[in-house]
This record gives sequence, C-alpha cells and structure tokens, in this order.
Amino acid sequence: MLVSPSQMLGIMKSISVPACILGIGFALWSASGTIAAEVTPQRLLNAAEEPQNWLMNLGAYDGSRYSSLAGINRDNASKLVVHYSVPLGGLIEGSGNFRNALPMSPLVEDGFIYIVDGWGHVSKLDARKKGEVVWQNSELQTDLDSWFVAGRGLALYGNFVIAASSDGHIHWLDKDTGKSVRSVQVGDPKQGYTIQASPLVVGDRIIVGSGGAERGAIGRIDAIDAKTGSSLWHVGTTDNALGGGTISQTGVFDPKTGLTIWGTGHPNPRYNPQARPGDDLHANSVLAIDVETGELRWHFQYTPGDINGFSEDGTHQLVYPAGASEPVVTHFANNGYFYGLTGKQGKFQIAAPYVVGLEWTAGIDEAGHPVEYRASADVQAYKSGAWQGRPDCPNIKGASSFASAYSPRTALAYGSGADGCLSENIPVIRTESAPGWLGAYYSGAAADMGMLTAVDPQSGTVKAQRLFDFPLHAGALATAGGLVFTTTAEGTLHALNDETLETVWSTKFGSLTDVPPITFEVDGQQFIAVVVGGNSYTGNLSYRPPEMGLSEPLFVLAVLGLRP
Amino acid sequence: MRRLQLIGTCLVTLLAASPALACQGGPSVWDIQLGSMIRDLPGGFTDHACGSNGGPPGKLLSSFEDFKQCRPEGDGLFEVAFRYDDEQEFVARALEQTRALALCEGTKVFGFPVVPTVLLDGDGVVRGLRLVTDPRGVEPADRSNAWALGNMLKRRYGVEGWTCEDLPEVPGETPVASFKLRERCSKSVEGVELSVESEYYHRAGQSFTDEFGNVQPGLFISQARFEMKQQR
Repeated sequence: MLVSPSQMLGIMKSISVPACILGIGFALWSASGTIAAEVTPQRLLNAAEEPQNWLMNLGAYDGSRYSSLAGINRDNASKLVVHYSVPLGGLIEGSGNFRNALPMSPLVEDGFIYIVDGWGHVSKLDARKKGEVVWQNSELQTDLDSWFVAGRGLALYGNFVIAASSDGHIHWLDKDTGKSVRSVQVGDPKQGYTIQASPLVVGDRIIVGSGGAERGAIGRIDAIDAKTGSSLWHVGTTDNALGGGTISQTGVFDPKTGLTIWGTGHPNPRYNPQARPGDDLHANSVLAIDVETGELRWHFQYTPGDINGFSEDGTHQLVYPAGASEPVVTHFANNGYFYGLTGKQGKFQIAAPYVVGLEWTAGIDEAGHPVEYRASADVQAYKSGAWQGRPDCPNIKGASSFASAYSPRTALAYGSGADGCLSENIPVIRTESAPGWLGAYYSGAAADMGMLTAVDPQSGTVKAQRLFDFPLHAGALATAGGLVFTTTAEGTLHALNDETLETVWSTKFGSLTDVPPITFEVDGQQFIAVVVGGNSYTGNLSYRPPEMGLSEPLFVLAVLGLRP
Repeated sequence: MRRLQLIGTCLVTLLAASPALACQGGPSVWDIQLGSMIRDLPGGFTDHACGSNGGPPGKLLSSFEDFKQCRPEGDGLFEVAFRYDDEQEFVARALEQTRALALCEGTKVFGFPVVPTVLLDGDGVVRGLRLVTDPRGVEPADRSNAWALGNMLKRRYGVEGWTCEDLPEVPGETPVASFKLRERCSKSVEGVELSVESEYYHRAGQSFTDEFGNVQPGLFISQARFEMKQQR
C-alpha cells in the first residue's frame, strides 16, 4: 500500500505524546550517528528540521536550498579551510561526461555522504572519517554513452539510495551495502529519453522528470511506486512532435496542496519558431501535478511561442508568507523576469525584471503574458534577444536550469545566472588566475559575467545584485549564518553576505565547479561540500590557467569546515 | 503529395508573416516542393554543387540550373547540394553574439547540421529531397546527437505507419551506449516515399577509451539520413 501525501499529513496530525517521545529518542539516536535510520516519508516532509542532514537534492520540498545551520557565519567564514577532499575518479577512469562539468550534488544523512559521478557510479562516504569510502557501486552504468548529460544527483527512500541513470533507468541501492536491489526502465534512450534531474521522493512515490531535449526527446514526468517499481502515472510535457519540454532540475512538492511542481525547458527546435508554430504548450512552463493521481492541476507558460531560445527548466521555489494559506511559486526565469504564482491554482501574481535592460518584450501584462503575445499567432512578434550590438540580452546562458535559493532569514530569493544586457559600465575584470593577463580569457567575456541577484519574492524588487568575472552557472545555498554560498565556473567558492551579496570569503579550487554547495553537520560541526571537476566551457576558454588544465579531468568532492 | 505541398505553402505563408528575427526568415529545405520546376525553387540558397549521395559537395555549380554538369545517379536523378546563406551567422560570430549565432543556425534542420540536396530529373523537375547529417566541424558532443534527427523527421510525418528494419550487421560493430542503433525506416505518403536511416554505434575498433585508458571521445558513428522521393 502506498503512503500518500495526505496520509502522511494525517499521520502527522494524529501523532501522540508517546510517539513524540519516541521521536525525540529517535532524534537523539540518529544524532549519535552510529546507525543510519530509514528515510521515511515523514522525515522527508520535515527535512528542514534535520539541518545536520541534506536529505534531498534541493534540501527540502520547498526547493529553498536553505539550511538553518549557523555554525559557519559571517564572523568566522574567514576560517574556512578544506578539511578533506575525496577523489572519486577522473575522466580517464570514466567518471564523467567528456564535455560537461559535473553537476551532481551530494546527499547527507546521519554522517554519511551519498554521491553519484558522471557515469552513474554511486558512492557512500563516511563523513566522520574524512570521507572514507564505505562502498561504491560501479555496476549501474558500465560502457555507458559518454555523451549523455550527467545526472544531478540521488534521492533517499527507506533504506535505499535511489539513483537515476542517464540511460533511462531508476535503480534502488541498499543503503548499507550499495548492492543494486531493483532497476526499472522508465523511458527509451532510442527515443532520446534520458534522466538528468534528481528523482524526487514523495510518500512512496518516486517522481522522475525526463531530459534529452538535445536528442529530440519528448518531455515527460513519471511517478514510480517506490516499493514495487511499477509505473503509477505519467504526464507528457509537450504535444510538439519535434520534442522538447524536457526537465533538468528536480521539482518541488507542496504538502498543503499535494502538488508536485516542475519547470520545463524549451520546445524543439529551440531556435527555430517557424518549425513549431503556436504556443508550444507545455514547454517553457511550470506544471503542477497532483502527486497522487497524476492529474495536471494547473500550468503557467512563461513565454508562449518563444522565439529566443529561452528554457525554463531551472528550479522553482515555494515561499510560504506568514499567515498565508498557500505558497507562492517563484522562479528566476530564463527570459530575464522573476515570477510569482499562487500555489493552489497557479494564478499569475508578479513578473519583475531582474536583468536590467531587457528589450525582447515591452513588458508582462496582467495575465502574465508578454504584451506582444497573440493567442492565434503562429510565430510571436517578440523582439529577438540579439540586437543593437549587445552581446546577448538576456544571456543565453542566463538563469537556465540553475538552482536558486531562498532564505527565510532575509526573506530573499537568490538566483544565479549570467548577465548579457550590460553594454556599458562593465566592471573591470580581474582574476587572480591571470596575472598580467592581456587578452580575452573567455570568448564573449562581456556576455558571460556571472550574476547573482537577491529578490524580494513578494514584490519582485531586486534588493541586491552582484557581478562576477566568470559565469555563475551553479545556483546558490543560503544559510542561517547570514551567508549565501555559490561557485563560479572557473572554480571559486564564494561566501557572500546574504543581504548585500558582498564577498565575506572565497577560495579557489583551480578546477571547474558547476554546482552549488550543500551544507551539513557532523558531531556538532558544520561543513560545506561541493563537487569540483569536469570539462565544461573548455571549448570557450581562450585563456586557461595552467592549473585548470591539469585538474579538469578530476572529480573530487571537497568538504570544508572551520579551522580549529 | 497535396498534403506535402500544403505544408510547404503554409510554411511559405508563415515565413512571409513572421517578424524580423535575427538570421531567421530565410528559405529552408521545407520550402522546396516536390514536382516544382527549378525556376520555382526558393531563392536565397548558396554554394550549389554536385551532390555525392549525401556526402561532401563535389563540383561547384553557379546555380541549380547547371544540374546537368553533375553525374546522374542510378535512377537517373541529378543530385545538387546547396547551403543556406550564412553571412549573418558570420557577422554574429564576429560580434560574439551568442544568441544571434544560435538563431542563425547555419545549414541546419531542427538544429542539426545537414548536407541538403535536391534530386532533379532530366527536365529539371524536383523529384526528391535528401538530408544527411553533416559531421564537418561539429564537436563530438554535438555529433553524438546526430542520429536523433531521424526520430524528429519520422515524427514530422507522423509516428504511425513507419516500417523499420535493422541495417545489415557489420562485423565488429558494438553498442556505443546501452543500445546500438542501426535502422532504416520507410513510409509512403500520397505518392511520396519517405525513408529515414539512423545510426549510433562503435565501428569495429572504436571505443571511448583505448586499452591504456586514453580518451578517444570522437570515435563513434552517429548520423541520420533522410530521403523523400516522388514515386514515378
């Protein structure tokens, strides 16, 4: 029998005093860290209440990537050092896709770290023993297509690690031994189907979003019975015969409405609207699906019939305003606007530009459409995003598929991306890695400056914005320590003031980072973990620091903590 | 055939009504109508050359009109290759305008670089269209997706009604992934024969890493080939 989200809530509501005592006992027992407990639906519902752990890809069901840990804070961040790093293979050993940086994010439960590499090899590490390998499972994806886009991470369910492999499988691994217990084929790789986003476990369901737009795949979201592996429902994300609407980031879940909410990417072909006349529903959209029935309850399309190649497969967040009966669904859109929608029905609330100088549309109307939108048009009369001598506005490498963060401490949402709208007043580019640098180190450097934006999700007002020398394609992590952590593509980890976005501390790894860090706590000490390595952007780099060339093929999990 | 002509007519109308997009709005292969005369082919194509059964273009021609300078194929049709006008693409490349570059696309179909050719009979009537994925200058990562154009082309003409068979196995070929794809699919639509070949595999001796663990990322076959021909 499946445990549904409503049943989970029912269980919570009827919890008795003895059960509470048991719960406290359980908490103390798990904090001792000697034995990892099962990851129950209730634990996932209350993931934010276990700040010592990082139980799901986006941290919690609201997608906030926020931790209430404050052991590392503005006052002591300068004492951060690498406590240990774990080499988990290299390109030559086959630890990753040949081209891409490694986008995966680890999970942490009760002192153990779970991480997947670019081939789908899963490792369990002991955080109390400086990342000592407990087990590695390398049998899941042998001889895999090296050109698959690497998956973003894992999920936890019961006593299983749930791993999605790029060839369309979901695997159940025994959390204690790493042995593969069950595998299920969700989609057909011959039809371009692949899985890039981490699975999302809700109750006894595993929700899987499909990738593969680059291979013409038609996007879909599936629910798999976590106990049996059987298919429960699936929702197609586009009726475009040429495909698209695929997914590269995990969805979120709202326990109050029972909806799981996912962003979809561009329609195919991405840059040729004449070949796909009409709105291209439900590409470039956010879809809210009843997690029990698979019913598509509501949808909202950011740029109907897009002509600019926008792709809205970045993360969504659920922000719960005090006293409100439903969350606000927020999204840093690839079209340069920050959106807010009602959680129950997806009604449009706000759209405010977070990139200065947008011109592809004159604005967003009261229905949430670009004002130029015509429902009957085969090709919309939006402006092209490449015009007037600007490099690219909004940036084609902007907020697409990055993981945003939200801090209840500041009540701000943090979105990462790349600017492309600045045509003047571009700050002087300085980089420690290029002393005496005389030429462009990055093709189209002006269009590839990293940008982190802090937005008030209620009003859409930009409260702070920060530019970086290198692209910021990772996303963000917000903490109660008054910090926002992010990484820039050339391999710098930044700890920023969560109100001003000014640098509090940073360190350079000397290799690429394409994923935001996570944080966890072991035996009362807070740590920051981030994956370093990969080959993304290599083709674009016209200047490459020597140390980067040496370390590119690595795949390393770096774990940082405060210097004693 | 009428349906195909209708698609072409609709696309021409669509293009005429389109807003001015960077690098967009030029003619594409889908504006070519089977049964039309050379003089009715859309203008704006460049680099005409004799075709080589979908391979690299051969002898340069000044226009489609010179098709008889090419050697006819076995069925008597003359294959003439061409390219889309890519001047705007080079401008965008020079200006480092990433999005404009993407919008310009070059000679691509659904985002995949192709060598497009028309098949003309001796009277200069368009009897067929051939598209073969073009590996020249394409990064291995992008080339690895070329086979997927076959799926998109099949879906363009409706997923139903295709008859597919595996291509004859070549000794030593191995899967490039968890699957090996070597198939030919065909379908007949109102007097037009459609065929799609999709291939993604390792030829004999190819692998992503050699026996010493050195990376060989470009060693694989990934291609798609599409033909539509009027039945005669």
